[in-house]
Amino acid sequence: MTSNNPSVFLLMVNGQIEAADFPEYDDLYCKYCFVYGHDWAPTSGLEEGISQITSKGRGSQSLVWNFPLDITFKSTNPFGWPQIVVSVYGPDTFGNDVVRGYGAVHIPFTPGKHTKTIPMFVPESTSRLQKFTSWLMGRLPEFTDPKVVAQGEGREVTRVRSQGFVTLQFNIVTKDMKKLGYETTSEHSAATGLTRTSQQL
Amino acid sequence: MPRHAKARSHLMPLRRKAHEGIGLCSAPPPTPVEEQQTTRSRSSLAHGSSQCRVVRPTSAAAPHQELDVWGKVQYSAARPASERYRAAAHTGYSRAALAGTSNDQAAKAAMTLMAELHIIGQIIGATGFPQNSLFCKWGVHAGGAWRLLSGLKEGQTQVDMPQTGDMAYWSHPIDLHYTTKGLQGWPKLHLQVWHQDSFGRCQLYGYGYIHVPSSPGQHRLQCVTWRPLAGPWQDQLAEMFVGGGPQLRTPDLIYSGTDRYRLHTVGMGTVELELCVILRHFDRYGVES
Repeated sequence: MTSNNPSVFLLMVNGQIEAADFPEYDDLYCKYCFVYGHDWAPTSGLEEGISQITSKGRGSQSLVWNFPLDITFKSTNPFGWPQIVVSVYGPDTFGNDVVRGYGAVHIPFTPGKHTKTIPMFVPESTSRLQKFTSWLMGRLPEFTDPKVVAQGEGREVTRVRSQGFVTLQFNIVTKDMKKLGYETTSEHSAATGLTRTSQQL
Repeated sequence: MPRHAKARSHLMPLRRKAHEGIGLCSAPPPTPVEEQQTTRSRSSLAHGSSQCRVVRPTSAAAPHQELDVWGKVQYSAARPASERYRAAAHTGYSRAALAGTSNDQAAKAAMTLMAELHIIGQIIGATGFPQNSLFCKWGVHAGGAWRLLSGLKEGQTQVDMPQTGDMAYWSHPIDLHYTTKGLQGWPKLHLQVWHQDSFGRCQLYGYGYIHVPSSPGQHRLQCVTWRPLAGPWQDQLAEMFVGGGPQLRTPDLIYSGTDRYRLHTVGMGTVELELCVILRHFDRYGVES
């Protein structure tokens, strides 16, 4: 149903968490969730998910999940644009499930196909003794709420170590953003037919 | 808690300065409003509904009655237009207006059709510095005609020690919503890159600034950084062993060029950012970007 004066715009996200690149770790699975502002609400699709456990194949160093993402948001305001937070977990030497990385990225803003590679980092232990103890006990430091990674406040006291990358693919469709007056693409680039198909972080 | 009365004294000089630039819309001078109405509007903001309430301006609203963005708006379709504008053109702006629910801010700006700018993105990381364990203090500075409606305009990233490779990754989100009356003073993002060593000591590694892109869309930016050099060779030698070189007293010099001729600096690494710029209603004022 089209309306001449829409008050909300829609953002439809299709995509996948494609693969991960962790040189030192194997047998990983990932969890994702979406973090968004007060003006946003998901209308359909899943906000959270857990993938399968994947291993590095013989000769190939990439960990493939091919995990689908499908969600639609509605909003009145681009402030609080949704971000996807990906957390990767895997077994340590003793078989406990420990976190191997957190990462977050904004959902792309322009319609089209986008590929994003995001860095994954883990919190660091504060002292060497704590590092050894946590390795022994199988309880490495982790964030109590992964959504902290998507926020800007409170990050200045955290020390992290980045140790891998995750590749995501998105196909974005927006509805009624132009009618509400929001311009997300420059007229110049649209006229010359330039499209952004690949974004590497 | 009527804070708006105290805020009024801060408002007047700012308002005069805002109109000096190229004005995009002219706001009428504020009409005095009863205290009751503003407190009523404040309490309704506090109850803040979670549903999005954007009311498009009706044809009954005259175009010359554009409102000052600092005026608080509490409106619904049921209230008559005259009462709505009287309540809106109140005197001061309060912190509550800036920190209030963003859908009310958006509704406010939508009603007045002021030009809006959204800056959404990430400070991805930094590369090219002598050591890897880095963090960044960042801030956004805009001219007098710009008002920040929602978002944090400064912050500090995490400290990252990369295990593989040279680049320190922060992935620090930036989400800002500005409204403006003029093009002067387009927002600038300024950065200070610091290094934290294993003992927890922090040393300045670079200053840099970059203008927020003015064309809508997604941009991948590289911000170069520089560091002030110590004067005599004794200081430079001490800096090599002990650390702690000269720093700027105020961050203004990072993004202004007026007093820079006294400085002697050396170039450091680059900071990578990915910013998306969303413009709204700029074309109504004839702005091409």
